[in-house]
Amino acid sequence: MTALEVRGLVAGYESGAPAVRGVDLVVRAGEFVAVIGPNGAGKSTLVRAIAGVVPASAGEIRVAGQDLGKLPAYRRARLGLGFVPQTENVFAALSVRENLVLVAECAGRPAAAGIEVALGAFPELAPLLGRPAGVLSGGERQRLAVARALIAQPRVLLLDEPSAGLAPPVVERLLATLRALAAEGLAVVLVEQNVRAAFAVADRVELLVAGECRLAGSPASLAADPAFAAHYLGVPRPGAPA
Amino acid sequence: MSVQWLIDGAIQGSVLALGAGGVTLTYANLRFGHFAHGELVAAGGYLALATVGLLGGAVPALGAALGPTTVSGALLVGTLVAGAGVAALALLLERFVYRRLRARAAGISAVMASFGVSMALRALLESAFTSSPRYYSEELSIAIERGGVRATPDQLLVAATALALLLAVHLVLGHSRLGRSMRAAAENPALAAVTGIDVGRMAMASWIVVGLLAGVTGVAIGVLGQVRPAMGAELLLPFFTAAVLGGLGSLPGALVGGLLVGLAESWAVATAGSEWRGATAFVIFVAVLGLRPGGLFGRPA
Ligand SMILES: Nc1ncnc2c1ncn2[C@@H]1O[C@H](COP(=O)(O)OP(=O)(O)OP(=O)(O)O)[C@@H](O)[C@H]1O
Ligand SMILES: [Mg+2]
Repeated sequence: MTALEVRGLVAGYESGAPAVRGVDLVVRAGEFVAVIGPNGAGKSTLVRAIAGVVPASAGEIRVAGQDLGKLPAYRRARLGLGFVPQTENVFAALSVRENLVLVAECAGRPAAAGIEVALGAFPELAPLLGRPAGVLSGGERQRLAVARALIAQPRVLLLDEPSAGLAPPVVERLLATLRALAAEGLAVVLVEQNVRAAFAVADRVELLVAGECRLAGSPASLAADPAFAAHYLGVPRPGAPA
Repeated sequence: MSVQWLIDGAIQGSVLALGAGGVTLTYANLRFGHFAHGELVAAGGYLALATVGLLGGAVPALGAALGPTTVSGALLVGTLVAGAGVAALALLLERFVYRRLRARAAGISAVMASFGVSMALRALLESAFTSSPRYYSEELSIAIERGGVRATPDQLLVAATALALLLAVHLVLGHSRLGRSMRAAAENPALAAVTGIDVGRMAMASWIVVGLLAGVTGVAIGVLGQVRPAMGAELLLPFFTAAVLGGLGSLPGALVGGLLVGLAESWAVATAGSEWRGATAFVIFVAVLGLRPGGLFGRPA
Protein backbone atom coordinates (compact mmCIF):
# COMPACT_ATOMS: atom_id res chain seq x y z
CA MET A 1 0.00 0.00 0.00
CA THR A 2 1.26 3.47 -0.85
CA ALA A 3 1.73 5.44 2.37
CA LEU A 4 3.19 8.64 0.95
CA GLU A 5 2.86 9.86 -2.60
CA VAL A 6 4.50 13.12 -3.69
CA ARG A 7 4.09 14.26 -7.31
CA GLY A 8 5.77 17.22 -8.99
CA LEU A 9 6.39 19.02 -5.73
CA VAL A 10 7.72 22.58 -6.07
CA ALA A 11 8.52 24.47 -2.88
CA GLY A 12 10.86 27.13 -1.60
CA TYR A 13 11.20 30.39 0.21
CA GLU A 14 10.18 33.93 -0.65
CA SER A 15 13.70 34.82 -1.65
CA GLY A 16 14.89 33.44 -4.97
CA ALA A 17 14.22 30.30 -7.01
CA PRO A 18 12.39 27.30 -5.49
CA ALA A 19 14.66 24.99 -3.50
CA VAL A 20 12.62 21.92 -4.50
CA ARG A 21 11.86 21.75 -8.20
CA GLY A 22 9.42 19.07 -9.22
CA VAL A 23 10.18 16.14 -6.93
CA ASP A 24 8.33 12.80 -7.11
CA LEU A 25 8.57 10.52 -4.11
CA VAL A 26 6.49 7.41 -3.51
CA VAL A 27 6.94 5.42 -0.31
CA ARG A 28 5.04 2.23 0.46
CA ALA A 29 3.99 1.24 3.95
CA GLY A 30 6.94 -0.55 5.52
CA GLU A 31 9.41 0.95 3.08
CA PHE A 32 12.54 2.75 4.25
CA VAL A 33 13.72 5.52 1.92
CA ALA A 34 16.90 7.52 2.46
CA VAL A 35 17.28 10.94 0.85
CA ILE A 36 20.86 12.00 0.32
CA GLY A 37 22.45 14.94 -1.43
CA PRO A 38 24.94 17.74 -0.97
CA ASN A 39 24.42 20.66 1.41
CA GLY A 40 21.81 23.04 0.08
CA ALA A 41 20.35 20.43 -2.28
CA GLY A 42 16.86 21.01 -0.89
CA LYS A 43 16.55 17.90 1.29
CA SER A 44 15.25 19.81 4.31
CA THR A 45 12.96 21.91 2.14
CA LEU A 46 11.50 18.72 0.64
CA VAL A 47 10.54 17.18 3.98
CA ARG A 48 9.42 20.53 5.40
CA ALA A 49 7.12 21.03 2.42
CA ILE A 50 5.67 17.54 2.87
CA ALA A 51 5.09 18.27 6.57
CA GLY A 52 3.42 21.57 5.67
CA VAL A 53 5.93 23.88 7.34
CA VAL A 54 7.03 25.35 3.99
CA PRO A 55 4.25 26.07 1.48
CA ALA A 56 4.30 24.14 -1.79
CA SER A 57 3.67 26.20 -4.92
CA ALA A 58 2.87 23.21 -7.11
CA GLY A 59 2.45 19.44 -6.91
CA GLU A 60 0.46 16.92 -4.93
CA ILE A 61 1.02 15.22 -1.62
CA ARG A 62 -1.04 12.23 -0.52
CA VAL A 63 -0.87 10.29 2.72
CA ALA A 64 -2.60 6.90 2.60
CA GLY A 65 -4.40 8.07 -0.52
CA GLN A 66 -5.74 11.25 1.04
CA ASP A 67 -4.81 14.48 -0.73
CA LEU A 68 -3.25 16.87 1.77
CA GLY A 69 -3.89 19.81 -0.58
CA LYS A 70 -3.47 22.99 1.38
CA LEU A 71 -4.04 21.38 4.77
CA PRO A 72 -2.14 23.17 7.55
CA ALA A 73 0.72 21.33 9.22
CA TYR A 74 -1.23 20.45 12.36
CA ARG A 75 -3.91 18.66 10.31
CA ARG A 76 -1.24 16.70 8.45
CA ALA A 77 0.26 15.65 11.76
CA ARG A 78 -3.14 14.41 12.91
CA LEU A 79 -3.47 12.38 9.70
CA GLY A 80 -0.40 10.40 10.70
CA LEU A 81 2.44 12.37 9.20
CA GLY A 82 5.35 12.56 11.65
CA PHE A 83 8.25 14.95 11.20
CA VAL A 84 11.54 15.40 13.05
CA PRO A 85 13.03 18.72 11.89
CA GLN A 86 16.77 19.16 11.44
CA THR A 87 17.03 22.02 13.98
CA GLU A 88 14.88 23.42 16.80
CA ASN A 89 13.22 20.04 17.08
CA VAL A 90 12.38 20.11 20.80
CA PHE A 91 10.62 22.71 22.96
CA ALA A 92 13.52 24.22 24.90
CA ALA A 93 11.42 25.86 27.60
CA LEU A 94 9.45 22.69 28.33
CA SER A 95 10.87 19.87 30.41
CA VAL A 96 11.83 16.62 28.70
CA ARG A 97 8.77 15.02 30.28
CA GLU A 98 6.49 17.79 29.02
CA ASN A 99 7.95 17.44 25.54
CA LEU A 100 6.95 13.78 25.57
CA VAL A 101 3.59 14.21 27.29
CA LEU A 102 2.59 16.92 24.83
CA VAL A 103 2.97 14.58 21.85
CA ALA A 104 1.09 11.81 23.62
CA GLU A 105 -1.77 14.20 24.39
CA CYS A 106 -1.89 15.48 20.82
CA ALA A 107 -2.02 11.89 19.58
CA GLY A 108 -4.77 11.02 22.04
CA ARG A 109 -2.61 8.60 24.01
CA PRO A 110 -2.12 8.45 27.79
CA ALA A 111 0.92 10.40 28.99
CA ALA A 112 2.35 7.29 30.67
CA ALA A 113 2.18 5.31 27.42
CA GLY A 114 4.02 8.09 25.64
CA ILE A 115 6.83 8.15 28.17
CA GLU A 116 7.05 4.36 28.00
CA VAL A 117 7.48 4.43 24.22
CA ALA A 118 10.15 7.13 24.50
CA LEU A 119 12.11 5.35 27.21
CA GLY A 120 11.76 2.06 25.35
CA ALA A 121 13.61 3.56 22.41
CA PHE A 122 16.04 5.67 24.46
CA PRO A 123 16.32 4.51 28.10
CA GLU A 124 19.06 7.09 28.64
CA LEU A 125 16.37 9.80 28.60
CA ALA A 126 15.01 8.54 31.95
CA PRO A 127 17.27 10.57 34.27
CA LEU A 128 16.69 13.67 32.12
CA LEU A 129 12.89 13.75 32.34
CA GLY A 130 12.75 16.65 34.81
CA ARG A 131 15.19 18.90 32.99
CA PRO A 132 14.28 21.69 30.58
CA ALA A 133 14.92 20.38 27.07
CA GLY A 134 16.91 23.55 26.38
CA VAL A 135 19.80 22.39 28.58
CA LEU A 136 20.24 18.98 26.93
CA SER A 137 23.41 18.20 25.00
CA GLY A 138 23.15 18.00 21.23
CA GLY A 139 22.97 14.21 21.23
CA GLU A 140 20.45 14.08 24.07
CA ARG A 141 18.28 16.59 22.24
CA GLN A 142 18.33 14.52 19.04
CA ARG A 143 17.21 11.46 21.00
CA LEU A 144 14.37 13.44 22.53
CA ALA A 145 13.36 14.75 19.11
CA VAL A 146 13.18 11.24 17.65
CA ALA A 147 11.45 9.84 20.74
CA ARG A 148 8.76 12.53 20.41
CA ALA A 149 8.04 11.51 16.84
CA LEU A 150 7.71 7.82 17.78
CA ILE A 151 5.10 8.50 20.47
CA ALA A 152 2.56 9.75 17.95
CA GLN A 153 2.65 6.37 16.12
CA PRO A 154 2.70 8.01 12.70
CA ARG A 155 1.92 6.25 9.42
CA VAL A 156 4.69 8.15 7.65
CA LEU A 157 7.76 9.43 9.47
CA LEU A 158 10.01 12.10 7.97
CA LEU A 159 13.36 12.57 9.74
CA ASP A 160 15.78 15.33 8.80
CA GLU A 161 19.29 14.20 9.72
CA PRO A 162 18.35 12.77 13.12
CA SER A 163 21.77 11.16 13.50
CA ALA A 164 23.64 14.49 13.42
CA GLY A 165 25.73 14.75 16.56
CA LEU A 166 25.03 11.22 17.79
CA ALA A 167 27.81 8.79 18.66
CA PRO A 168 28.11 5.89 16.16
CA PRO A 169 26.61 3.21 18.46
CA VAL A 170 23.64 5.49 19.14
CA VAL A 171 23.18 6.07 15.41
CA GLU A 172 23.15 2.32 14.92
CA ARG A 173 20.52 1.87 17.60
CA LEU A 174 18.42 4.70 16.19
CA LEU A 175 18.54 3.24 12.68
CA ALA A 176 17.77 -0.24 14.01
CA THR A 177 14.76 1.17 15.83
CA LEU A 178 13.53 2.85 12.65
CA ARG A 179 14.19 -0.33 10.69
CA ALA A 180 12.10 -2.31 13.17
CA LEU A 181 9.26 0.21 12.94
CA ALA A 182 9.39 -0.02 9.15
CA ALA A 183 9.10 -3.81 9.47
CA GLU A 184 5.83 -3.15 11.33
CA GLY A 185 4.52 -1.03 8.45
CA LEU A 186 5.85 2.48 9.08
CA ALA A 187 6.90 4.39 5.96
CA VAL A 188 10.23 6.06 6.73
CA VAL A 189 11.81 8.96 4.85
CA LEU A 190 15.25 9.59 6.30
CA VAL A 191 17.37 12.55 5.21
CA GLU A 192 20.92 11.48 5.91
CA GLN A 193 24.36 12.95 5.22
CA ASN A 194 26.13 9.75 6.17
CA VAL A 195 25.90 7.76 2.95
CA ARG A 196 27.31 4.63 4.55
CA ALA A 197 24.63 4.66 7.23
CA ALA A 198 21.92 5.39 4.67
CA PHE A 199 23.04 2.55 2.45
CA ALA A 200 23.15 0.12 5.35
CA VAL A 201 19.57 0.64 6.36
CA ALA A 202 17.49 1.90 3.43
CA ASP A 203 15.42 -0.11 0.94
CA ARG A 204 15.80 2.71 -1.54
CA VAL A 205 18.03 5.75 -1.79
CA GLU A 206 17.07 9.00 -3.53
CA LEU A 207 19.80 11.40 -4.56
CA LEU A 208 18.66 15.01 -4.51
CA VAL A 209 20.80 17.61 -6.27
CA ALA A 210 19.81 21.25 -6.77
CA GLY A 211 16.20 20.54 -5.88
CA GLU A 212 15.75 17.62 -8.26
CA CYS A 213 15.91 13.85 -7.87
CA ARG A 214 18.91 12.85 -9.90
CA LEU A 215 19.03 9.15 -9.13
CA ALA A 216 17.03 6.60 -7.20
CA GLY A 217 17.35 2.93 -6.52
CA SER A 218 18.37 0.24 -4.08
CA PRO A 219 21.66 0.85 -2.26
CA ALA A 220 23.27 -1.97 -4.24
CA SER A 221 22.18 -0.63 -7.63
CA LEU A 222 23.23 2.91 -6.76
CA ALA A 223 26.62 1.85 -5.51
CA ALA A 224 27.14 0.03 -8.77
CA ASP A 225 26.11 3.05 -10.82
CA PRO A 226 29.07 5.03 -12.12
CA ALA A 227 26.81 8.10 -12.51
CA PHE A 228 26.08 7.98 -8.80
CA ALA A 229 29.71 7.71 -7.87
CA ALA A 230 30.47 10.64 -10.16
CA HIS A 231 27.60 12.73 -8.81
CA TYR A 232 27.95 12.08 -5.16
CA LEU A 233 31.05 10.21 -4.17
CA GLY A 234 33.32 11.92 -6.66
CA VAL A 235 35.29 8.68 -6.94
CA PRO A 236 34.00 5.88 -9.16
CA ARG A 237 34.03 2.68 -7.12
CA PRO A 238 31.63 0.38 -8.92
CA GLY A 239 30.43 -2.65 -7.04
CA ALA A 240 31.39 -1.52 -3.54
CA PRO A 241 28.89 0.08 -1.15
CA ALA A 242 29.92 3.68 -0.56
CA MET B 1 7.43 55.24 61.00
CA SER B 2 4.24 53.20 60.93
CA VAL B 3 4.16 50.03 58.85
CA GLN B 4 0.91 51.15 57.25
CA TRP B 5 2.82 51.70 54.01
CA LEU B 6 3.54 47.97 53.89
CA ILE B 7 -0.16 47.13 53.91
CA ASP B 8 -1.03 49.84 51.40
CA GLY B 9 1.83 48.80 49.16
CA ALA B 10 0.92 45.12 49.24
CA ILE B 11 -2.69 45.89 48.35
CA GLN B 12 -1.79 48.20 45.48
CA GLY B 13 0.91 45.69 44.53
CA SER B 14 -1.62 42.88 44.17
CA VAL B 15 -3.57 45.01 41.66
CA LEU B 16 -0.36 45.83 39.80
CA ALA B 17 0.48 42.10 39.78
CA LEU B 18 -2.84 41.36 38.11
CA GLY B 19 -2.16 43.93 35.39
CA ALA B 20 1.45 42.81 35.03
CA GLY B 21 0.22 39.21 34.72
CA GLY B 22 -1.76 40.16 31.62
CA VAL B 23 1.15 42.10 30.14
CA THR B 24 3.65 39.32 30.79
CA LEU B 25 1.36 36.63 29.40
CA THR B 26 0.80 38.62 26.21
CA TYR B 27 4.54 38.91 25.88
CA ALA B 28 5.19 35.22 26.63
CA ASN B 29 2.48 33.67 24.47
CA LEU B 30 1.81 36.26 21.76
CA ARG B 31 5.32 37.64 21.55
CA PHE B 32 4.80 41.35 21.74
CA GLY B 33 4.46 44.22 24.18
CA HIS B 34 0.77 45.09 24.15
CA PHE B 35 0.37 48.80 24.82
CA ALA B 36 -3.42 48.68 24.70
CA HIS B 37 -3.53 46.51 27.83
CA GLY B 38 -4.59 49.58 29.84
CA GLU B 39 -7.67 50.02 27.67
CA LEU B 40 -8.57 46.33 28.02
CA VAL B 41 -8.45 46.97 31.77
CA ALA B 42 -10.66 50.06 31.46
CA ALA B 43 -13.11 48.19 29.22
CA GLY B 44 -13.43 45.64 32.03
CA GLY B 45 -14.08 48.40 34.53
CA TYR B 46 -16.91 49.81 32.41
CA LEU B 47 -18.42 46.43 31.53
CA ALA B 48 -18.78 45.74 35.24
CA LEU B 49 -20.17 49.23 35.80
CA ALA B 50 -22.80 48.70 33.11
CA THR B 51 -23.72 45.33 34.61
CA VAL B 52 -24.09 46.84 38.07
CA GLY B 53 -26.30 49.58 36.62
CA LEU B 54 -28.55 47.12 34.82
CA LEU B 55 -28.72 44.32 37.40
CA GLY B 56 -28.68 46.48 40.54
CA GLY B 57 -31.74 48.34 39.30
CA ALA B 58 -33.62 45.32 38.01
CA VAL B 59 -32.95 42.96 40.92
CA PRO B 60 -32.71 44.96 44.18
CA ALA B 61 -31.41 41.94 46.09
CA LEU B 62 -28.34 41.91 43.86
CA GLY B 63 -27.67 45.57 44.52
CA ALA B 64 -27.03 45.07 48.23
CA ALA B 65 -23.47 45.05 49.54
CA LEU B 66 -22.09 41.68 50.65
CA GLY B 67 -20.90 41.45 54.24
CA PRO B 68 -18.66 44.28 55.39
CA THR B 69 -17.58 45.11 51.81
CA THR B 70 -19.18 47.53 49.38
CA VAL B 71 -19.14 44.84 46.72
CA SER B 72 -22.63 43.78 45.61
CA GLY B 73 -23.85 40.58 44.05
CA ALA B 74 -24.39 42.59 40.88
CA LEU B 75 -20.70 43.50 40.87
CA LEU B 76 -19.71 39.85 41.21
CA VAL B 77 -21.78 39.13 38.12
CA GLY B 78 -20.23 42.24 36.58
CA THR B 79 -16.77 40.83 37.23
CA LEU B 80 -17.65 37.72 35.24
CA VAL B 81 -19.11 39.89 32.49
CA ALA B 82 -15.95 42.01 32.49
CA GLY B 83 -13.70 38.95 32.20
CA ALA B 84 -15.77 37.36 29.43
CA GLY B 85 -16.41 40.63 27.62
CA VAL B 86 -12.77 41.72 27.57
CA ALA B 87 -11.77 38.21 26.44
CA ALA B 88 -14.19 38.65 23.52
CA LEU B 89 -12.78 42.11 22.79
CA ALA B 90 -9.25 40.69 22.80
CA LEU B 91 -10.33 37.96 20.35
CA LEU B 92 -11.75 40.61 18.02
CA LEU B 93 -8.48 42.53 18.16
CA GLU B 94 -6.54 39.34 17.45
CA ARG B 95 -8.75 38.51 14.48
CA PHE B 96 -8.83 41.94 12.85
CA VAL B 97 -5.60 43.61 13.95
CA TYR B 98 -2.91 41.51 15.57
CA ARG B 99 -3.07 38.10 13.91
CA ARG B 100 -1.38 39.16 10.70
CA LEU B 101 0.98 41.64 12.30
CA ARG B 102 2.26 39.19 14.90
CA ALA B 103 3.46 36.86 12.16
CA ARG B 104 5.84 39.50 10.81
CA ALA B 105 9.40 38.81 11.78
CA ALA B 106 10.14 42.21 13.33
CA GLY B 107 7.20 42.08 15.73
CA ILE B 108 7.32 45.85 15.99
CA SER B 109 4.29 46.22 13.69
CA ALA B 110 2.08 44.62 16.31
CA VAL B 111 3.51 46.90 18.99
CA MET B 112 2.86 50.01 16.89
CA ALA B 113 -0.64 48.82 16.05
CA SER B 114 -1.32 48.38 19.76
CA PHE B 115 -0.64 52.12 20.29
CA GLY B 116 -3.32 52.83 17.72
CA VAL B 117 -5.71 50.36 19.32
CA SER B 118 -5.04 52.00 22.68
CA MET B 119 -5.99 55.46 21.43
CA ALA B 120 -9.03 54.22 19.52
CA LEU B 121 -10.40 52.26 22.49
CA ARG B 122 -9.80 55.17 24.86
CA ALA B 123 -11.64 57.57 22.55
CA LEU B 124 -14.48 55.06 22.33
CA LEU B 125 -14.73 54.76 26.12
CA GLU B 126 -14.65 58.55 26.52
CA SER B 127 -17.39 59.12 24.00
CA ALA B 128 -19.55 56.40 25.49
CA PHE B 129 -19.05 57.17 29.19
CA THR B 130 -17.36 60.66 29.31
CA SER B 131 -14.17 60.98 31.31
CA SER B 132 -15.78 61.84 34.64
CA PRO B 133 -15.13 59.25 37.34
CA ARG B 134 -17.78 56.69 38.20
CA TYR B 135 -18.13 54.34 41.18
CA TYR B 136 -19.52 50.86 41.68
CA SER B 137 -21.06 51.81 45.02
CA GLU B 138 -22.01 54.94 46.95
CA GLU B 139 -21.13 53.23 50.21
CA LEU B 140 -17.87 53.56 52.09
CA SER B 141 -15.81 50.54 53.01
CA ILE B 142 -15.03 50.95 56.72
CA ALA B 143 -11.45 50.10 57.62
CA ILE B 144 -10.62 47.34 60.07
CA GLU B 145 -7.78 48.18 62.45
CA ARG B 146 -5.39 45.59 63.90
CA GLY B 147 -2.20 46.46 65.77
CA GLY B 148 -2.07 50.00 64.44
CA VAL B 149 -2.54 49.16 60.76
CA ARG B 150 -5.70 49.57 58.75
CA ALA B 151 -7.21 47.91 55.72
CA THR B 152 -10.74 47.99 54.35
CA PRO B 153 -12.69 44.79 53.66
CA ASP B 154 -12.78 45.88 50.00
CA GLN B 155 -8.99 46.04 49.90
CA LEU B 156 -8.61 42.61 51.46
CA LEU B 157 -11.15 41.11 49.07
CA VAL B 158 -9.42 42.64 46.05
CA ALA B 159 -5.95 41.49 47.14
CA ALA B 160 -7.18 37.96 47.87
CA THR B 161 -9.01 37.75 44.53
CA ALA B 162 -5.97 39.01 42.64
CA LEU B 163 -3.64 36.48 44.25
CA ALA B 164 -6.10 33.62 43.80
CA LEU B 165 -6.67 34.44 40.12
CA LEU B 166 -2.95 34.68 39.38
CA LEU B 167 -2.33 31.40 41.17
CA ALA B 168 -5.13 29.71 39.24
CA VAL B 169 -3.84 30.95 35.88
CA HIS B 170 -0.32 29.91 36.83
CA LEU B 171 -1.48 26.40 37.72
CA VAL B 172 -3.52 26.02 34.54
CA LEU B 173 -0.70 27.24 32.29
CA GLY B 174 1.94 25.28 34.14
CA HIS B 175 0.22 21.94 34.57
CA SER B 176 -2.59 21.43 32.08
CA ARG B 177 -2.60 20.14 28.54
CA LEU B 178 -3.91 23.49 27.32
CA GLY B 179 -1.13 25.35 29.14
CA ARG B 180 1.56 23.06 27.74
CA SER B 181 0.21 23.45 24.21
CA MET B 182 0.03 27.23 24.63
CA ARG B 183 3.64 27.42 25.78
CA ALA B 184 4.77 25.09 23.00
CA ALA B 185 2.95 27.13 20.35
CA ALA B 186 4.46 30.33 21.71
CA GLU B 187 8.02 29.00 21.75
CA ASN B 188 8.16 27.29 18.37
CA PRO B 189 5.02 27.58 16.21
CA ALA B 190 6.41 25.40 13.41
CA LEU B 191 7.32 22.52 15.73
CA ALA B 192 4.02 22.89 17.57
CA ALA B 193 2.17 22.62 14.27
CA VAL B 194 3.95 19.43 13.19
CA THR B 195 3.20 18.05 16.66
CA GLY B 196 -0.48 18.47 15.83
CA ILE B 197 -1.20 21.68 17.74
CA ASP B 198 -3.45 24.28 16.10
CA VAL B 199 -1.25 27.30 16.73
CA GLY B 200 -3.93 29.83 15.80
CA ARG B 201 -6.30 28.40 18.41
CA MET B 202 -3.59 28.53 21.04
CA ALA B 203 -3.12 32.25 20.31
CA MET B 204 -6.85 32.70 20.79
CA ALA B 205 -6.73 30.78 24.06
CA SER B 206 -3.92 33.05 25.22
CA TRP B 207 -5.97 36.14 24.38
CA ILE B 208 -8.90 34.73 26.34
CA VAL B 209 -6.73 34.35 29.44
CA VAL B 210 -5.21 37.81 28.92
CA GLY B 211 -8.68 39.32 28.48
CA LEU B 212 -9.95 37.59 31.59
CA LEU B 213 -7.05 38.96 33.65
CA ALA B 214 -7.44 42.45 32.19
CA GLY B 215 -11.19 42.52 32.81
CA VAL B 216 -10.79 41.54 36.45
CA THR B 217 -7.95 44.05 36.84
CA GLY B 218 -10.36 46.78 35.75
CA VAL B 219 -12.92 45.75 38.36
CA ALA B 220 -10.20 45.60 41.04
CA ILE B 221 -9.05 49.14 40.26
CA GLY B 222 -12.65 50.34 40.17
CA VAL B 223 -13.52 48.80 43.55
CA LEU B 224 -10.54 50.49 45.24
CA GLY B 225 -10.82 53.78 43.34
CA GLN B 226 -12.65 55.11 40.33
CA VAL B 227 -13.84 53.86 36.97
CA ARG B 228 -12.43 56.19 34.31
CA PRO B 229 -11.32 55.72 30.68
CA ALA B 230 -7.68 56.29 31.72
CA MET B 231 -7.85 53.97 34.76
CA GLY B 232 -5.71 51.30 33.09
CA ALA B 233 -3.51 53.45 30.88
CA GLU B 234 -2.32 55.39 33.94
CA LEU B 235 -1.01 52.13 35.43
CA LEU B 236 0.58 50.83 32.24
CA LEU B 237 4.08 51.90 33.30
CA PRO B 238 3.84 50.17 36.70
CA PHE B 239 2.35 47.10 34.95
CA PHE B 240 5.28 46.89 32.54
CA THR B 241 7.75 47.70 35.31
CA ALA B 242 6.41 44.87 37.45
CA ALA B 243 6.46 42.49 34.48
CA VAL B 244 10.03 43.40 33.56
CA LEU B 245 11.19 43.32 37.18
CA GLY B 246 9.77 39.82 37.60
CA GLY B 247 11.14 38.71 34.22
CA LEU B 248 9.00 39.21 31.10
CA GLY B 249 7.05 36.06 30.43
CA SER B 250 7.00 34.79 34.02
CA LEU B 251 3.68 34.78 35.86
CA PRO B 252 5.22 34.25 39.33
CA GLY B 253 7.59 37.04 38.30
CA ALA B 254 4.64 39.34 37.60
CA LEU B 255 3.27 38.57 41.06
CA VAL B 256 6.53 39.29 42.87
CA GLY B 257 7.26 42.26 40.59
CA GLY B 258 3.80 43.71 41.18
CA LEU B 259 4.14 43.44 44.96
CA LEU B 260 7.64 44.96 44.91
CA VAL B 261 6.59 47.89 42.71
CA GLY B 262 3.51 48.44 44.89
CA LEU B 263 5.63 48.41 48.04
CA ALA B 264 8.24 50.72 46.51
CA GLU B 265 5.59 53.22 45.43
CA SER B 266 3.97 53.12 48.83
CA TRP B 267 7.30 53.59 50.58
CA ALA B 268 8.20 56.53 48.34
CA VAL B 269 4.85 58.15 49.10
CA ALA B 270 5.25 57.56 52.85
CA THR B 271 8.78 58.94 53.03
CA ALA B 272 9.02 61.53 50.25
CA GLY B 273 5.43 62.48 49.43
CA SER B 274 2.71 61.45 47.04
CA GLU B 275 4.19 63.33 44.07
CA TRP B 276 6.90 60.64 43.99
CA ARG B 277 4.54 57.75 43.29
CA GLY B 278 4.70 58.14 39.51
CA ALA B 279 8.47 58.46 39.37
CA THR B 280 9.06 55.30 41.42
CA ALA B 281 7.96 52.84 38.74
CA PHE B 282 9.99 54.72 36.15
CA VAL B 283 13.16 54.59 38.26
CA ILE B 284 12.72 50.84 38.85
CA PHE B 285 11.99 50.30 35.15
CA VAL B 286 15.20 52.02 34.05
CA ALA B 287 17.25 50.39 36.80
CA VAL B 288 16.06 46.85 35.91
CA LEU B 289 16.65 47.36 32.20
CA GLY B 290 20.16 48.62 32.95
CA LEU B 291 21.20 46.21 35.68
CA ARG B 292 19.27 43.02 35.08
CA PRO B 293 17.27 43.12 31.86
CA GLY B 294 16.13 39.52 32.34
CA GLY B 295 14.42 40.47 35.61
CA LEU B 296 14.32 38.37 38.74
CA PHE B 297 12.78 35.20 37.26
CA GLY B 298 13.41 35.77 33.57
CA ARG B 299 14.83 33.19 31.28
CA PRO B 300 18.09 34.28 29.72
CA ALA B 301 17.24 35.97 26.41
N1 LIG C 1 14.44 29.65 5.66
C1 LIG C 1 15.00 29.82 4.44
N2 LIG C 1 14.84 30.97 3.76
C2 LIG C 1 15.38 31.15 2.55
N3 LIG C 1 16.12 30.23 1.91
C3 LIG C 1 16.32 29.06 2.54
C4 LIG C 1 15.78 28.79 3.84
N4 LIG C 1 16.14 27.54 4.20
C5 LIG C 1 16.88 27.06 3.18
N5 LIG C 1 16.99 27.95 2.19
C6 LIG C 1 17.70 27.74 0.91
O1 LIG C 1 17.10 26.70 0.20
C7 LIG C 1 18.06 25.85 -0.39
C8 LIG C 1 17.86 24.42 0.08
O2 LIG C 1 18.10 24.37 1.47
P1 LIG C 1 17.83 23.07 2.35
O3 LIG C 1 17.90 23.46 3.77
O4 LIG C 1 16.59 22.43 1.87
O5 LIG C 1 19.09 22.17 1.94
P2 LIG C 1 19.56 20.78 2.55
O6 LIG C 1 19.70 19.86 1.41
O7 LIG C 1 18.71 20.36 3.66
O8 LIG C 1 21.02 21.16 3.08
P3 LIG C 1 21.82 20.59 4.38
O9 LIG C 1 22.43 19.32 3.95
O10 LIG C 1 22.87 21.62 4.61
O11 LIG C 1 20.87 20.46 5.50
C9 LIG C 1 19.41 26.43 -0.01
O12 LIG C 1 19.88 27.18 -1.11
C10 LIG C 1 19.13 27.32 1.16
O13 LIG C 1 20.00 28.44 1.15
MG1 LIG D 1 18.97 20.15 5.65
